[in-house]
Amino acid sequence: MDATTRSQSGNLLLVDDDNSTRTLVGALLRRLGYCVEQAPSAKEARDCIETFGFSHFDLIISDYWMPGENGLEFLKYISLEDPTLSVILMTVDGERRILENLIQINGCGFIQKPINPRKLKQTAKDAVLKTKHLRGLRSTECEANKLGENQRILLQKQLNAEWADIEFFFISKSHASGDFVSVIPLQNERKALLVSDASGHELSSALQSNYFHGLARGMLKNEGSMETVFEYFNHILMNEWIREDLIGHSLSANSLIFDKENETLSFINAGAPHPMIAGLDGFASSVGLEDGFSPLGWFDQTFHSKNSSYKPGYICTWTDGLSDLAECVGIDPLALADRLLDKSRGSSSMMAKSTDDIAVVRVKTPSTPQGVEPMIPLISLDLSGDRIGDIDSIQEYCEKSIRIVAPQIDSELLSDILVCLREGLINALKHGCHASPELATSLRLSRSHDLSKISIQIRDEGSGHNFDWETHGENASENLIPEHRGLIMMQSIPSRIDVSNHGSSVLMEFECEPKLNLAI
Amino acid sequence: MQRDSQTYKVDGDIVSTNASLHWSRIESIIQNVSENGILNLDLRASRLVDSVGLNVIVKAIKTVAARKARVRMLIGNNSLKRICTFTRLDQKAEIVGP
Repeated sequence: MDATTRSQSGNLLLVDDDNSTRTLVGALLRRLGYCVEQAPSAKEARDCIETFGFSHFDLIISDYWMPGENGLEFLKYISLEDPTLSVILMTVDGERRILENLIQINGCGFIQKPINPRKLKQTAKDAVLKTKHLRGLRSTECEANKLGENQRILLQKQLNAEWADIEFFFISKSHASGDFVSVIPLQNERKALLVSDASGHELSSALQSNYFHGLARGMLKNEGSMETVFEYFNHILMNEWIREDLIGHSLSANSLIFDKENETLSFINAGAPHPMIAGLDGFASSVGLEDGFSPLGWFDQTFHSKNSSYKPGYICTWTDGLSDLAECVGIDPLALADRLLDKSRGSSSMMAKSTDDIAVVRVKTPSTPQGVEPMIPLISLDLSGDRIGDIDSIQEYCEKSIRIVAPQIDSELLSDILVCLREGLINALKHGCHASPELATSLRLSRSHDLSKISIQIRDEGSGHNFDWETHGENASENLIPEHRGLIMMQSIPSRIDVSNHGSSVLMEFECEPKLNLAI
Repeated sequence: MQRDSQTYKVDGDIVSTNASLHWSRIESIIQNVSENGILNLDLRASRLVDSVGLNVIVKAIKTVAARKARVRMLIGNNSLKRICTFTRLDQKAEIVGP
């Protein structure tokens, strides 16, 4: 038979060592419109498949008991090589119970001997349809994978082309992702960084997110504003993409427009996590308000926008998949972003816990001088003054955040950092904020590029007080008084400490050998 | 002559949130420390002792001193040893290790 010949009903391979069964069943199948190849053993059936190829056949009908390889072993071979190809095993009545379980495990059909022509007709028809259905799905999956891969390549190329030292991590939990990032150059040395996350994980999510970026690019090139882009896309989602009979898509997005000349930043957010901005010290704060804003496509509402200035340092932004994963593993999103952006380390074990797509971008602000490496933000925590009871969990959060970035960190250095961080926080919450929920304490932690330095900043909203380290330190140690021992540790352990605003702002630096703590 | 000694083996960090628990355990052991005896505070399992934890140690040193006995601290890491030096606890108690 010509390998390209195909029957309208389907191409079958009939395997049975009994010549009369092959003749009888083969004739039945041909009358049903199938094109039938025959083989007297599993070995010859394999040869036949090798000749025609798996994709030629829509169904294999095989006897169970055959000399040499039996039907079940043959089924395992088929399942392994082409899981989309349906197999029906023919059995005599006594074997049925044994085979039922095994066959069901492999998603295979079976038919009893002697063959009932009506039963054969229905079973073969169902099995061929199943093969065609599974192959259709596989084909769609391949296309989706190609699309997802193209998406990844395009994202990386586009970002690198527009922003030389941009750091980017992207991973999709499905074939194509609704997470998308682009950099759009604008007039007068301005640049827009646009991050979006369409709801859902289907191809339509990827299409929608890409459409949004294309629309933004086109409108901005024609001197439209980013506000107009957000408003227009909200209108599209509200009025065109959402129909009563469909569950429509929404889109979370934020945009950052950097004006290099004026060192200003225009920020818009619609339902996306707030980006974090840090100066050269790496102490990061949220760009926008902490309050949430609805994604585009939900309401006829406006979005959050803010204009501010920026300084040399980093901006880090991500989609909500990263926020969710950080919460799941109990670390700061900034530390997780740093970990994922470290290309020297794999992310598969980390991503196993993720349930969503993740896109992360970190970039130096345009005013950062060439060759300057700002500190990298790792922790940004704002605490109400009454959180003293949570000090253990806050310490654990910080430890995990440091460890995920520097798993090989020297244990004694880590102890030094943690004890000072703990003391600083207790001091700020207890004495600075007087444990009042009306006052707040901020904790910021950053690292140098080579991990030779970790910096901590702790600030509280209290009025502070003057403190003479030497007098109190000596008194505390000589007379064994219980007070001030924490402050003495903070003064003595770090490589450098800087106390300002009457003690309500403390900066501590911890130094070690460069790269000593980097994971290999 | 071998001095009479009692030992409290700390099972982890001594920090603000568990300091009271550790003190109550230490306090009951101190009752058994005789004059000229030694209280061994075995901190080898402690990675971190914060200021409240240090206050527990200070209190132990003072209470034991009142019984005319002394404290010996067994330490397992340099970070904690440095803290004892900075806070001059090494002048008030014998430090052993790491």
